Amino acid sequence: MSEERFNPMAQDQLDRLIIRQLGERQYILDRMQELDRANNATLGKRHLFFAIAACVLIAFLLFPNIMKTSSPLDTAGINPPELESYRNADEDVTEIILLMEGEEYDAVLSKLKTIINEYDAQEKSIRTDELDDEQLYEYQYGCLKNAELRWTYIYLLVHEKQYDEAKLQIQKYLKQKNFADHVEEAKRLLKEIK
Amino acid sequence: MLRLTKISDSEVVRGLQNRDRKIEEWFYKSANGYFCNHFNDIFFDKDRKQEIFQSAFLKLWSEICDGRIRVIDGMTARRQKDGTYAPMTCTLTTFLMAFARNEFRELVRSHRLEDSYSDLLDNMGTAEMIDIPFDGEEDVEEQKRRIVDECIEQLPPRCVEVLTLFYYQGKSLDEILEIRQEHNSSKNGLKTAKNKCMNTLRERITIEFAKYKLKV
Repeated sequence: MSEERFNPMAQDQLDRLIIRQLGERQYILDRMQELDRANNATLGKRHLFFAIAACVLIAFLLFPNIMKTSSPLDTAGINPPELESYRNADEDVTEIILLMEGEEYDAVLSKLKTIINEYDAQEKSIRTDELDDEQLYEYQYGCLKNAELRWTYIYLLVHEKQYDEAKLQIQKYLKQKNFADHVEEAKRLLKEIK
Repeated sequence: MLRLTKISDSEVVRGLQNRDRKIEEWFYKSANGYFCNHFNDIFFDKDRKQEIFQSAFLKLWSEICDGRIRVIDGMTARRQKDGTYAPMTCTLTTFLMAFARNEFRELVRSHRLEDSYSDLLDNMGTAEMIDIPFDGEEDVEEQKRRIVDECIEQLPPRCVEVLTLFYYQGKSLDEILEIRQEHNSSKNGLKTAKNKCMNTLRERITIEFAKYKLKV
């Protein structure tokens, strides 16, 4: 047996047995190391995946609108209409506000369409020069309320992507300019959906 | 979670004995997962988590490979002190945790001693001799292998490493010094340690063989 390096030719039976078992043990150790590396690599990949998923989740929590398609309402900077000043004045308006709070937009659209059509039909038959002061006040109040309801209708139409009807209603709304509070917003919105 | 429903303990034992790489991989992953999930309930030394797992797993794998754990009539069985095999009443992973507990105790005890070669050689003299009664059912060659394995296990880890590098991997003393990064140790010191390790191992094996009337 060399002093520097083991000479396999010099081994006896017991050496052979020992070396074989040392080899067995080494095989297990090597395999464990290999498996450990593979395991860590898998864990690393899994951790990376979870880290990315966590980042995405945090991004969604911080910026909830991140995946929403940009609406013309957002790009035109339109705020949701408020009908609060008419809430107690009219049962229909109260109902509309409640439906909107419940996000029942189809029902609101249907209700608004009926009210606005009725108003448009009535409005055509009214001759303002024949009205007395009180009737004129009532008429003007009705016009204000109707303009606000139409604005609400327009907002919801755009919200529901019914752009053709929205364009038609914006044009009607702009004709009510003496009673419309959102003329500039309406113009911007029209530009966005054209 | 460990899913032994997919691969049974018996299949694992057979697979490891036959060096089935797929089973080795599956069992390692499963056992590692199980160990990590239960580690915190048992131990309090997170820094040594992997070290404990590796030692315990090596012990379990060695027991399977040298036949101390084997499959008899489709069931896993372990060799008892009286030499017979008794069916295992727990899963391999439970066994692994038991080994891990022992490893942890050993670690706590051994870390108080800094192991230089002189300590290592001194400690060897006090190591307990193993007591393995002869088992008539066991194959003679298998019994020899098991005795050699157990004698190797009794050696300090650094001794096993030096012997493996020199005898199994055929490294020279200079290469061993380089691999072990023992630039301050002398080649003569290593040679003496290596010879003493081998002689002690041979002596122990010879004594054990003689007990059971086994010929080298």
